[in-house]
Amino acid sequence: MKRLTICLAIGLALALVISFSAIAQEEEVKKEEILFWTWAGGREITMLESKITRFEFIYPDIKVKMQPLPFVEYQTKLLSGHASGTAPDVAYYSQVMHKMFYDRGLLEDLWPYVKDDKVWLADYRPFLLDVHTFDSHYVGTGLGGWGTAMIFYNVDMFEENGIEGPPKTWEEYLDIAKRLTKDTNGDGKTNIFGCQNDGSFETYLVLLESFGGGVFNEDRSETIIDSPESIEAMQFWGELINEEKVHTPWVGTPGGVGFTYNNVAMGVYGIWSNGFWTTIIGDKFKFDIAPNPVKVAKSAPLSSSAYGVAIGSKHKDAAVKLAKYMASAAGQIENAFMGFAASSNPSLDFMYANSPVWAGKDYQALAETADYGKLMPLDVPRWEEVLRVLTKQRDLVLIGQETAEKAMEDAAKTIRDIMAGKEVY
Amino acid sequence: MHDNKRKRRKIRGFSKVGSIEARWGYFFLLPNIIGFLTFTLIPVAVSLFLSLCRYDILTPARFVGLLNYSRLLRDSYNLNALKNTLYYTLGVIPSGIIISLFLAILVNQKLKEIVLYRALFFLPVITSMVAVSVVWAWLYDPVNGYINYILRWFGIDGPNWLGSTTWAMPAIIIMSVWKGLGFNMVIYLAALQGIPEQLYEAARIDGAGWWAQFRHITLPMVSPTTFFVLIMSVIGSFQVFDQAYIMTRGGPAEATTTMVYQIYVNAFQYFRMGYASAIAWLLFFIILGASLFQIKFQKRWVFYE
Amino acid sequence: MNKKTKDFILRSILRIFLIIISLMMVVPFLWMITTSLKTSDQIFTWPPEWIPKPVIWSNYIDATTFFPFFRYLLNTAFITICIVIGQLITCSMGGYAFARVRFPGRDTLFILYIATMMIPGQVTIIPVYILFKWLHWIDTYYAVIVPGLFSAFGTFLLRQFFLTIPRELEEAAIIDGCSIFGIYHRIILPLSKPALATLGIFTFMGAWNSFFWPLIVLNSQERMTLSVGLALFVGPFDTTFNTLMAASTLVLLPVILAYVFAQGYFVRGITLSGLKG
Repeated sequence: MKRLTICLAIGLALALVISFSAIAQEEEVKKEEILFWTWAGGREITMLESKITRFEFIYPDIKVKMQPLPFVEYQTKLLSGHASGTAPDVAYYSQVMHKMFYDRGLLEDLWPYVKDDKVWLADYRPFLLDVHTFDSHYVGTGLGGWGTAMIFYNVDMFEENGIEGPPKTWEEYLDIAKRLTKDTNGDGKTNIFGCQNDGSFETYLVLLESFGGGVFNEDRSETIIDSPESIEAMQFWGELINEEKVHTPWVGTPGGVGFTYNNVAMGVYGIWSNGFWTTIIGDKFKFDIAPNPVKVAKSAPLSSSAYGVAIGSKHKDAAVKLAKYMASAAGQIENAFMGFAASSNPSLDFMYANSPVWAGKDYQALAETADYGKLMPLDVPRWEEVLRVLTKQRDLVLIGQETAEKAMEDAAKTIRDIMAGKEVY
Repeated sequence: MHDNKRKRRKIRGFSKVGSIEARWGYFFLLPNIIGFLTFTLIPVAVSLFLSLCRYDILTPARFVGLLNYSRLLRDSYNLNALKNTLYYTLGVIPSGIIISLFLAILVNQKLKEIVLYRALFFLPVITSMVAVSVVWAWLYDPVNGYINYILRWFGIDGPNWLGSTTWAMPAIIIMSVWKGLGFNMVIYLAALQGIPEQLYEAARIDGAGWWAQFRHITLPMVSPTTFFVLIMSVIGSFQVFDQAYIMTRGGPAEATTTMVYQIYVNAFQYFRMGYASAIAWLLFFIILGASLFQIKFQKRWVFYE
Repeated sequence: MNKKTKDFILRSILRIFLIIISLMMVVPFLWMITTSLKTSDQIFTWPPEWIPKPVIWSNYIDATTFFPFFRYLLNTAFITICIVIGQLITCSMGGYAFARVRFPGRDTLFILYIATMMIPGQVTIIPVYILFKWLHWIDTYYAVIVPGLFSAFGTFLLRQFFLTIPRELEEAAIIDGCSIFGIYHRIILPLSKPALATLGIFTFMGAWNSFFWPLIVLNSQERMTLSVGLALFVGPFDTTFNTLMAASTLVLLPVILAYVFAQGYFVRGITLSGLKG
């Protein structure tokens, strides 16, 4: 009996092995094709599949083998792909990754393929060309994934409390937040908060830049994180949380207090949240977006991800075709429906504005940020280390453990060391 | 006399019977050793070599000698991570072991439905980390979270758990202990079941109460298990990463950055594989030291038959 | 108060303890289940609602159509079974060698085994990856299965167990003319079923849920594993929590089944393992 079980188990294992090696053999007989990696999560995979089908219809001699990969650890995966010579022909890179891989000479310059294509260029937001150009090498065709941070506000809560509209200045922001911060369940603790800004770097820049400060100056040669304006911005934010107490406590992972729970009235959030929130809020309350409050400047930090073509790709022409397609209106139709970000193709603005995710909201305000927005400084050397310092010092201010002045000065000191090429301890 | 013969064979290892045995030993070990060498030992040796290099994964490695090591302990990020990791280990191990022993005793009782409880207590070990982090983020929410809600009943004003440099690590510790209890509980449960009932009966006849029984029978009899659990837990908790990364991303303000988090960031975000390897080797020596210390110390309290 | 009443009271107190602790253990798991049955707009409400209204069973269908679920399931099952069987064989053979067979360098080698468990995996991944690239094993089943066939932990565990088997049995067998392989096969293995089941369940869990290594080493959809598939639900901009939880529950079921199956051996297993130094 025992022998029988063992024999069966071994037999089963052998059967599995044989059938799998057979299947594996089968895979070898394939057409020539290009390899396309993309991070995709949530609904994006279905979107991608229909895009690829269309692409293969337009270009019948190209077959695309798409590998959707988890967003988690995507960079590590790309790294190991490039390191081992199995890099994909076309892949989706975040802005930071683009710079990193470009620095190591791993991405093709796409400018020669794009500069004469007037049709393609005409329907493409110009700033996106700048975002992915390093030393006049244009290495990524930006897609409708450009984003920024803006004000999200709870329209119903505003109306119920007789508030006219979203704040246009930071003074108004504070004022409205005070009026909307309440204790509605009588336990002596605030449970509705006037505002909550998220932890994204975009939001961080909104605060800094709208006060006239920032992380780097125009040509990225100097850090201005310790300028009086930057310090004032951080001080303001810190006070919202710790003194005025109209902003939710600053936590790593948001818990039960947040915009989507209908207990925060407004805040500066990345606009990519719109798609997700529309689904999880549903009909519970109405919300909208608005341009960021101003202190001395209008601010909208612009960022984007893009498709890049790997150097050494054996199917360069096909790969470039795919990269350009994905960034053109033809390849962005599904994005117009999902509305996670803003359109890279002005011709699609109309579709975006009427998509389920943007309908009834001020999509126009978002589209306009492309005109006055500033590119995010993600292409400085050793960006990851800079970000780490900035995050740490911001956290110290917002949890009330450090004054804005000291924190930003410490940040500036470290950033100067990084810029000077020193090791950072 | 029998024992002396064995001892001699062990020391020499080359007596006639010994050499036949030796051959068999190698044969049995062969598959295991090939795997060990190829997939464990050689990569480990390579990582030691890499720790003496600058290596960004995408371009060939460049030998730099002990440069990475000289940086190691001057790097305040590392020192901070070391402090946090030690804090974590000291928080997780005693409470984890004591509570899981207690749970094992609980589920060792004779109740019909006890098997159900054994399965329920094991659930946290296999529940998806996403679910665990969402629920615990709710529990820890400073405004609406259940933990602070309960603390309010006792008149305590709960802290901003995941947003406080003082309380973020304790928050992670509590969650980790909770998640790991089932695992050690099962190991202890088996050990408990191996204790002969006669010992307890004899003690009862002699008039020993339950505390005396616990102290003089249960504890010594499970001490070998405690030793095993202790060693494996130390090796594991020094390498903590997932919880800190998922729940707090090492924050706020680096309060929950651990050694492996440092390794990860340096390797896969800064592209400094050489330096990351050096950090890993530092961690190795610390764990090795802690383990050797425990092994030496075990003679005092571990009771073998 | 007679004995029966005293017993009853003690049992009731015990039951209360058990129920309270179970509630604490089970909450995230319950959240998994209820979320898997909700519509998207019901997941993040405050206060949280524990009962989905309405109950959406179709999330489970969506979970299996989002990515090639059954293909990934087949892959994961194949890989896991190979790894479990492989580890049981190599670790038992190796563990026996370390426990009972005398050969020069045995104890030093064993300490080396334990020491390698103290190196964090992150820094050995790249060397192994490069080795596989050289072997042309990237994006093949070999890359995932072969490293998993060996385990220092498993060897350690089984060696501890084998040390507790009475030597008299082996000596009797030698006197009867049994070879070392015979001892292994006829005495050690049969007596070790509990320990083997124990290692089996640990290995099963590890291989089934393994994420980072398959992610790095596999590329094609045809060979991908379930845990990587689960991560596809988590996007940079949104995560479909309900389908993710549905998929996670499905992926969890085989692990629970394996745990229950091994339960019979499991508890007895570590008893006999002795775990002496």
